[in-house]
Amino acid sequence: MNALLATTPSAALRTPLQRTGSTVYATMLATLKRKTAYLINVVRAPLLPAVLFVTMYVAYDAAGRTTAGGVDVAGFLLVGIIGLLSWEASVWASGHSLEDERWEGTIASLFLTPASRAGVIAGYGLAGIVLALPSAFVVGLLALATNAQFQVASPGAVALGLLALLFASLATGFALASLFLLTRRANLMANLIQHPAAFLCGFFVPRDDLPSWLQPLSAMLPVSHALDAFRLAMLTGADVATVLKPAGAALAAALAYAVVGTLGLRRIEYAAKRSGQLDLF
Amino acid sequence: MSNSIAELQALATDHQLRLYAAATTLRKPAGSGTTVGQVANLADDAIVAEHLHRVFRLGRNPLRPGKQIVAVEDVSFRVQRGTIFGMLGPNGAGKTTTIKMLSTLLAPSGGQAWVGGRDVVRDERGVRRQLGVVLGGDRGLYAKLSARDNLVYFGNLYGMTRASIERRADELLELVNLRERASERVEGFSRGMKQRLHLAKALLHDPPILVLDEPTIGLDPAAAVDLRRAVANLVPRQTVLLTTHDMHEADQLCKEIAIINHGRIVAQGSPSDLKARVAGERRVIVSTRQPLNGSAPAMLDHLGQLGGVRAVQHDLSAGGGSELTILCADTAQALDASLAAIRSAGATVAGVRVVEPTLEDAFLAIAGDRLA
Repeated sequence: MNALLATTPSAALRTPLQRTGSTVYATMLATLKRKTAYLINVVRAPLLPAVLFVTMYVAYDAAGRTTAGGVDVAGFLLVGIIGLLSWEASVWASGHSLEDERWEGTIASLFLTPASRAGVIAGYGLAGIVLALPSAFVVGLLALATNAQFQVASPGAVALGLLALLFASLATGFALASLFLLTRRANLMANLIQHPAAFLCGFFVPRDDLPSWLQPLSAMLPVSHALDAFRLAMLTGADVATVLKPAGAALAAALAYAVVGTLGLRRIEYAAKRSGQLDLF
Repeated sequence: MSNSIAELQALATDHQLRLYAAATTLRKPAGSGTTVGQVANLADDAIVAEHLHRVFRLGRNPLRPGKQIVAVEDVSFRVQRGTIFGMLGPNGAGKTTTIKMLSTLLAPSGGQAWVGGRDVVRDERGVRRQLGVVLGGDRGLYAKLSARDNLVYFGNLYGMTRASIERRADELLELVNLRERASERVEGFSRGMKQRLHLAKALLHDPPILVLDEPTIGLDPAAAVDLRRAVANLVPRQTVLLTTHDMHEADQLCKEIAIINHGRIVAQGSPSDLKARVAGERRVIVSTRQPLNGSAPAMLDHLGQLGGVRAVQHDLSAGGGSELTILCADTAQALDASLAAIRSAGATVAGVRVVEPTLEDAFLAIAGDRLA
């Protein structure tokens, strides 16, 4: 270890955009490697969504209902499960990212770097979405096995719905990440937020069936609108113009969440440093 | 001519900063109240801490404010560029809290600090770019990533280019003797291996300033020697702030040492300065051929009364005789009187050794606490 002086100096990326892009990509890759380190993690992931799909399908069947929200039940549930996976990525991947670092014991190392925190959170979020793909695939197979009826008229509308879901998920994650940074009870808070959303966002039951007093709460969640947009595109043959309204609502809500999250993150990081809680677990 | 620190920070390189500071009289930001003949020092000093203060509040109920703990109180010091500065103190003295404030992990409750001329509160990102930090303990690495993947990830977080990361990772893995294990997950590493990887991570982006929080803890003696040698080789190209419990390490490596206790710096100076503070307190060890046995208590009493003697301790030596350790306030006086008293008691003196005060003696005398 004597020749440290002989090492070559490092070269830095030039623009902030390059640096943030590099942070997002590297975080996504590192998170994917960490989360797939054990095969069992990959194998078990689709089990819960698959069981939920089957359970809800059987429940609808037992109630004698073949449609939900005016569309085929299996298709309705498939899109709902994709929404659920996206929501879980919001809460447990991007939202929980900094808490994950705290648990791993690396949050101090991470915060010692000049990397964009938003880039790290986005990297986690993207990894969460990639990790959800096998689950979506398995549930998709189940939907086909139960004769799900799809009606796709415009691939553009489907893409718009997916894009809205992606942004809704990442933006919600931003807001949650800063919230979770401030507390040492992030796991409990994540659980608290996770379950009611399954109901509020209309993953398994149409949002129109919710009591009227819950409707405003449901409308505040970007994922609710994104899911509406995706269902329209996948199950009713809606075109881009039709999907644009709920997708626009999802993107607008997502933007608001992203702004709150980004502004909040800086303030909350400082608050955590002031209270001395940043690297406590 | 009056300029702010922020303007100073706009000067891109340390070299420019030195020239600029030398040529002008500069002031700190408004409200700091101190003029900066010290700005010249901001150029000369890699780290400047002024009146740093940190209070932790226990309990978060606003209606019932909890107890306050003052972890760091009015800590000021400067670390000259290209040197190793040591921070010594018992557990809970405030060393790690100080380091966390300097490395932007903790907001100071009061005072100011600059690292590489950058304010640790106002220019956190600028500070982070210049710092490599090895925090004490096992954590800080991704257990399920390999050693190389850890370095690659952190290289990206420091905004390094891919080629630069690959090259530096290869070099540093070689330097810390982890090349053979580079593709193994860190969760299988020993503490020493993790510590070496921590050092590689800290050096990855080639920072001008390194903060090492007890870097040799948990290392076997050979690895510790190796790491100390590596740290010694970092200067004068880099500046090192080192905290340690190991007095020998501090004595060997540091140009200047601050002893911190109960959140305050209680002494500061070069190792020889600090030892000079207890220079009068040499220990004289007198060996006798025969064991003193029954006469030992009376002998200890008698020696304790002699001029120049502060304290006496008796042990049986490995050679079968006795060993009297005499802590001297005045070595010459104590030595003469003690030898005469031992001989007059009929004991044969087999040997006399004078032990110079160590940094540990100085530390214990100054900090007044045992090392944990």
